[in-house]
Amino acid sequence: MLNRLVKWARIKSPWILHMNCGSCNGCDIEILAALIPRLDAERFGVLLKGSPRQADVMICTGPVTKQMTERLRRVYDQMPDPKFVVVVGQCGCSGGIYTGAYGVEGGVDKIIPVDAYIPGCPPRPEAIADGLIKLLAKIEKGGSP
Amino acid sequence: MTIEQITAHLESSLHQQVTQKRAHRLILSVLREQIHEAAGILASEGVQHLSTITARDTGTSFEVLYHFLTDGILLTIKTMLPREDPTVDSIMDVFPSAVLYEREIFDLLGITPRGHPDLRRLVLPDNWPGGYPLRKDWKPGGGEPHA
Amino acid sequence: MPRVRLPIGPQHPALKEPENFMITLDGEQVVDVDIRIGYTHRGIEKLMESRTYIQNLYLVERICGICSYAHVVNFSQNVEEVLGLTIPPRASYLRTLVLELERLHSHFLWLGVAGHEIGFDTLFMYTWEDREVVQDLLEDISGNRVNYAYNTIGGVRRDLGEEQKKRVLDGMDYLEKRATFYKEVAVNEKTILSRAEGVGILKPEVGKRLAAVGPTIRASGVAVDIRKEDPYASYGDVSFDVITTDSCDVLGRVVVRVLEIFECIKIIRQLMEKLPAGDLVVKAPRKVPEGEAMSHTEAPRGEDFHYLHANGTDKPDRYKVRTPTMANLPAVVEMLKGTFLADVPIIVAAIDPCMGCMDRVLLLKDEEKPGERISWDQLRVYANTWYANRGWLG
Repeated sequence: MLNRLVKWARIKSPWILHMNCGSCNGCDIEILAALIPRLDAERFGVLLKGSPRQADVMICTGPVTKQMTERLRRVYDQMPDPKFVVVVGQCGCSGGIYTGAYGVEGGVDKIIPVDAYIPGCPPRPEAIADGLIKLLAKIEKGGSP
Repeated sequence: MTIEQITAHLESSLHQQVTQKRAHRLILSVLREQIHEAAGILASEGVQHLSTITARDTGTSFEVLYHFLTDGILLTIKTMLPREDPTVDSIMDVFPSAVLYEREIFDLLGITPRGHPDLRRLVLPDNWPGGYPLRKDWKPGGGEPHA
Repeated sequence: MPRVRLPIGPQHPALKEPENFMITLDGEQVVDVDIRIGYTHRGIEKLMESRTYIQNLYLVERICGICSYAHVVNFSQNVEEVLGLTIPPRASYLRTLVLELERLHSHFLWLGVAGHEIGFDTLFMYTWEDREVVQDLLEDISGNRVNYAYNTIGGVRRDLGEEQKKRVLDGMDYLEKRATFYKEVAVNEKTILSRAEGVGILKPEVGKRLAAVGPTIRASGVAVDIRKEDPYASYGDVSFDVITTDSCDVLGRVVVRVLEIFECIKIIRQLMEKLPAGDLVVKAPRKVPEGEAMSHTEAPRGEDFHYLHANGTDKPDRYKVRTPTMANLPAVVEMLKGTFLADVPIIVAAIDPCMGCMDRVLLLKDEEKPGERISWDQLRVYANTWYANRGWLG
């Protein structure tokens, strides 16, 4: 019973931490564009939070620079369980256009487990909102990922 | 000061020729000992904007370019540094805006600005294995360690 | 009172310039600031040496997702200069159009972020909604909302039709109305006045000495604008004013950006009126002869400087980028000294360093002891409460 309540709450109001791992800002402004009244991702209960300790879902952008690797891991560890990671943008999925640069690790999934990928350079706000909804559906069906 | 007066002052003091590359672009090559003097002349003539400092590895030596902007004219002062001794005088005392640019060329190419008060790493990670990535002979994971 | 060191950052996304401000506090007052950057240093300059010019066109675009087009125009201008190419006038006009649309979107974006930083989220929602109009126009013209891929070496890749032209002009009419509203808000709204007036002072002589650029220095009454001083693209053909204010504070930076929106609209209308017919692109060879070029543009945040050294192959020998935020960092250190901790968010935001993710703060109670971690969000809440408690917010 309690489990079902917690799950219901989690799906109805996922709090989001936005983590930039060295992206060009293109994805970041599109994530914000998904929150403004035109798409209004907040109607799905999505709320942007600044602290990892309050977040359920981490949205990562960027190819993960060497300098951010350790910090990404640390922020991930600070999030309470169960936690979900969504990668937005091609360079976060695989390294994208920055593949081969000396400063990047290439892909968020090399550092932490990832639950959903939203490719695009940058993906449209619609795609980001859609990706979030798909993640919520996945949580609803499968419980914890 | 007009740009003509500035170039005349530079040419007479440094005995080097200012060349016009195209409209709005002037280039002056000087010896490496003259960099600080050249910067001093520009400052005394009222030039205040240092756009940036570029350094590049030519394979046999390093070229450092100082880009100054005055009245919409980009005046570039360049100099060559030998590969064995990549040092140049810091111009931070006359152009305080050089603080980050000098740290950047130190970090990425290993060119030491002599007299820079706060020479630290700028952009490379703390656990950087060593080596200067913008040098042509740099390979990932190799190179000499940072000073 | 013992001094406290407070690191802010390092999560900060701006291009290759994420920052960590190590702030030394004496009570509430900032006495010293140290910057550590490089957290999103990807090594683009080295990577460019191993890619061809056409591939680099798309890499340069992704230095920054907000002022991406300013970087691409710089890159194209540099390559065209070494190749000795002159682009067709229509291409040059269209480049100017997209440059100005980009400035519009960036200024609306900044206005919203600044509103967010001072706890005025209504403004954020308003401006971002209006920004969507610009994004739609950019998508209409180039095919993408961000990172337009509009340029190629020797010209532009897409033409502008008559209907698109009309849509651009309609969009300008709407944005002009909205900008008039924001002009009212910026100088009359108490929330903005109480947080921005007299905060983050940058005296003109200090700003010039530290080589600050863009709206940051223009708000200190220094009329520098690369578009005027060294006209590139088609800026020589249009008339516009360089906006300055002499209040030297954050409010001045708000006002300069709002008034620049009107100048953008003015420029775009002139471009649409004068748009010449003709080709879009001249053919460029794949290999670039030996030579060097420097190009600088007035990006939304200020002077954006690029340097190219070519060596006769199809790949650049050395490419150097200096972005406007980097140039403004020494000035921001100056602005922060002597202010209150509560003003730090808006002062840093006022240079428009692509804010948004600088959201982790490590608060060290004592220099030796491990600190308590608070977020950028919490610092903002702290700042807003601090002001509310003083009764400065009415």
